[in-house]
Amino acid sequence: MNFVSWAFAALFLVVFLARLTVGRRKIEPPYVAVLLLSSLVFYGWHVPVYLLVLLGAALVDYVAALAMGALAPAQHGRRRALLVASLVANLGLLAFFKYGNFVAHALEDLATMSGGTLRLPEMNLVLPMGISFYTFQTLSYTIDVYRGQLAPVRNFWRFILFISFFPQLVAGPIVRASEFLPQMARPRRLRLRVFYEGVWLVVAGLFLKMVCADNLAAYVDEHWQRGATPGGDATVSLWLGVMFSGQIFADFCGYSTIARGLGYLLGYRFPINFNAPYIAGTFKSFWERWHITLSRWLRDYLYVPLGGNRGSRARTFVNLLTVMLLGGLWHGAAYTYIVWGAIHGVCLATERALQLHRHDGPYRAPWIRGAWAVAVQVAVLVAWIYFRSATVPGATAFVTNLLVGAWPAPPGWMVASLLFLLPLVVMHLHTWLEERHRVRPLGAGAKAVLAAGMTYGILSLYGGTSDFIYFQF
Amino acid sequence: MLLRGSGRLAASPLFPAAVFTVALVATVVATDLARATVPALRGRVQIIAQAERPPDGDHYLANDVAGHVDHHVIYFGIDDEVVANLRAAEVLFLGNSRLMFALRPEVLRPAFDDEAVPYYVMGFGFREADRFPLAIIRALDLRPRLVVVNADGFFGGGLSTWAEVVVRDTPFAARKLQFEAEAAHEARRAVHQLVPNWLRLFGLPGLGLRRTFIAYRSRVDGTWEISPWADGTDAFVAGPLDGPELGRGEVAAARAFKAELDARGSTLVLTHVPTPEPMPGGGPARFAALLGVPLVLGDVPALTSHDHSHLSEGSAHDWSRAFMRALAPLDQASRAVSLDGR
Repeated sequence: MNFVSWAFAALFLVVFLARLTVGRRKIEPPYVAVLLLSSLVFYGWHVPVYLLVLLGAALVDYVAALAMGALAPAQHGRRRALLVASLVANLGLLAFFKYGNFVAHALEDLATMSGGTLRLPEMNLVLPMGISFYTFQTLSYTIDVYRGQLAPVRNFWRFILFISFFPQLVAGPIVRASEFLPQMARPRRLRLRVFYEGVWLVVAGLFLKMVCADNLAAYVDEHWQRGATPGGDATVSLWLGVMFSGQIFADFCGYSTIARGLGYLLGYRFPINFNAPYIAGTFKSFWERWHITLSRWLRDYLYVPLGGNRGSRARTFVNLLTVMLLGGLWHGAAYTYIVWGAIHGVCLATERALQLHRHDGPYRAPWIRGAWAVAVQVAVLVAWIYFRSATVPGATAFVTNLLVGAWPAPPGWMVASLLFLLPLVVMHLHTWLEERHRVRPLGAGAKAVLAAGMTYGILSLYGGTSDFIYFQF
Repeated sequence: MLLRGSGRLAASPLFPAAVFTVALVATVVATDLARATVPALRGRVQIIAQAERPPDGDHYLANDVAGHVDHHVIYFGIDDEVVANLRAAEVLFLGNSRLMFALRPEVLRPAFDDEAVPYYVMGFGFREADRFPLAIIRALDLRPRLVVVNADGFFGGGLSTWAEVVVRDTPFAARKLQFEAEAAHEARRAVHQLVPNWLRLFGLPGLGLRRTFIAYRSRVDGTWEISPWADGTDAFVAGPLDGPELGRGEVAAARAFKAELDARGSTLVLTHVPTPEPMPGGGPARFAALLGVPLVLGDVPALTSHDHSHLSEGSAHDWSRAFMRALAPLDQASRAVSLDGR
């Protein structure tokens, strides 16, 4: 189910009415039952049979965690076997649905390159919505239980609610068990202040999606091919790159913001997922601001177990590259995502090698840091071109135009189209000033006026409806 | 004193809600004032705010900017009444949106009702060609006595990009789409009485205004009610009926289509709804000659279009009348053959 749909509006209305009546203390069993049931309806609304995939994966993790909890800490071998079983089941489902065709095509290509022929059957499957997100969420649970950082959940339905809680089920934020499960026991009455904050987040998220992302998408979808046309203008390529950078931010940040707002209204707090990523001056900072919950997940469950930065410098670089390559592959089964991850991996490693990620490193001069900040954002933009393109050669042609193409003055309409980026620029600028204590956080009155303006914008400037980009992951 | 009062107001728990409401209402009122006073805005109304409701409960929303439901409803047979009427139809009309604009229910209904002939108009938007309606004919096992095809890019056109999406969907997805489209339609109707969507009034810079229309389809006979229907501004003369030589794909598709209808005991008749747009592929006269079937035309001297593609309302009415006059003898002959066969 899409947040920007009437089916969702109807579902949320029912759940919120339950919050106002039977769920004034959110631990009341009838309210918990409503949350659980609505979460299953929310997920089943896409392809009903995929509820079985979700519930099957959850059952494996539930049983594995319980079994791990029943074992003494000294029984390493058995505990590890249970963890491996859980990982195989979850990653196996992800691999089957998401990477089956990609691997088959790669094998066919390999066979062709070595002079043979291989034809493997094509799986014509719809990807279960949000499988990448909830797989990471369940993995965090079993790994934390294995590490002894979390006690297993005894109540199966409470566990299912953690996995399937609808506001963040299909596109994050990736909420860890250690962040969600303790909240389930807190009564948390709905206060007016919390209600305002929830509504503010929902309105801001809808504005980002319906006004900024959907209108930017109209330009990007219409003109993207022009960017990759051989001999094309650099002006057009740059314009498209900037427009897509804005679109993907507004789309994904919009979703996460709505999710956080809904969580507030229903009695749950989710971690922030975006914090003005385009003001980042380093790649490290970018990943502390972009899809923060994924970055944290990759750091804690992949980068650190691989050795993190505790080994040699070379080993650290390999770890960074591995994590970012897998992060790219997590987004989708395509070479373009791998290249996107590789660009970020190489850039992170380079930054670390030059110690530019540290403010107290050898390159402290403001002009060096300023130049590096520009380089960071240019690299991020180039990486987005690979992310958006259908093929690697197409993306490379796009980047070539950017590097060697002509720079004619943009027509007026192209400049006018940048207006849809204005809210994003203001948002980033405000965060930049706030971090430097030049402005205060918005007060209740300012937020109310802004919320009214955004509501008017939603009603009078909404673009064509489209799915959230991250639904496909 | 005043400051103290405003401080107390700001501390009130309802302050943000009050500010929000006042600011939103003020913006809406300012919009209305601007639309009433600024000459460039006066008279600019979104089509959803002008659209009349369909004349009776026998219509469903078929096409709107918020949802193109038409293909889904018929392809997946999610409306029992539509399926029943399609199966009962003795005369079936197929073609693109130009046919759907051209065939007016106020002309068709009395003409067919007088003879007690059930009919159904099953054309589709998105320049739909032969493959999609053929799939429906097979799925619902339709066996009409007479099939009238608007030979306007119909044969060999394949599936439209929208139909490719539709055929991969499920009946469940079709019902969801219909629910969303109808809910969005009603919400937009209400909201845009107060506030317009500026991007639908003026278009996005550089992308312009997209051609859109609202159509409700009759469950009884499949005809479209279009509302609002802009006045015809574009007078034109219908182009030649032969067009370029038929391509190999067109020939094969036309013959296969005819063979399918023959196997179902249906008689094929071609027509052509005039349009100012250049015809895609071979002309109707060439197809009629190839298949050895009649070409029935509505002879109307002066025609207008409102969007350089579809007929205007007045022209559609005139064309429907002329066409029905031309079709009547053929229909009677076909009925006689059919009765003899029984």
